[in-house]
Amino acid sequence: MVIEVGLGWKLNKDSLDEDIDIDLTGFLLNEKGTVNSEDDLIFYNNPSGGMGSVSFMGDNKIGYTEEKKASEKIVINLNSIPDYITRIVIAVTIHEAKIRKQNFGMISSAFVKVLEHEKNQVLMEYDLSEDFSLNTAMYVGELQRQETGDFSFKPLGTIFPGTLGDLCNKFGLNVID
Amino acid sequence: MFCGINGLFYTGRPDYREPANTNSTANPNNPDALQTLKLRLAKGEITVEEYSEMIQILSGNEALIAKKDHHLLEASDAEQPRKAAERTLIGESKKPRVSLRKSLV
Repeated sequence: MVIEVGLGWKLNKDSLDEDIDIDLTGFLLNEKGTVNSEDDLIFYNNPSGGMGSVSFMGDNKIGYTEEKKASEKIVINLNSIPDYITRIVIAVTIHEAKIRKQNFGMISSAFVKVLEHEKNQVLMEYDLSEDFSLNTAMYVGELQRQETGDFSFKPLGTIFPGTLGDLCNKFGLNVID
Repeated sequence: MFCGINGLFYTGRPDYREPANTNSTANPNNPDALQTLKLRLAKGEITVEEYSEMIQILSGNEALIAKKDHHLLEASDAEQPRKAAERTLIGESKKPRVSLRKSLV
């Protein structure tokens, strides 16, 4: 089974002097809750990890132009995730939010969709601009490996009080710039 | 001039001073106690024998403190290699490194 996590947002040009760049990131975690290597951080600078089981489909810096179409996607092939990966945490952050003084409330429409890739069937959806308006980072959800080896998706939709760099530190990565 | 124990000198004068370069074993953690003793001796409030006894008590305390410090130092020294090894194992340099900078293109 292949699932797709999609992020979409639309800029509110009337109220913004500067574009808002929202990023989708996947942390492929071992049983200790950390990444084994930099390859297990899936984001705009690393489009593939987990031995090819997880792919980032490209960075978008301006949001969607077609209504409700995902601007960034992470595609996960559940059948080929290596055994050492026990969890995949999906997060959304605003790029350089502190510098640009931006938050989720400054965009007119932002959503995260989790869907079954082949059937294009939506499993869940969040609206970021309403519930997370004053924040700049959130956990979308996480895939958890079960004892049977199957994966289940746990929706989180919870705030993370920090940046993408803070998330990297939390999951065992050193940010070098 | 009377030469007391521990290299302290007593001249019999109230305003006596300890000679320079004295090899005093005064407890550095409690200089006030030693100074008080000196003053009491100088004023004749205590005898030389009493002074000597009290100095011995102070010196004994100092020896205990020195012994305790030695153990602490030993423990500290023993701990350092282990801590260094831990730092190597879980140190920052061993973490995967990542750049979050975006290309301008």
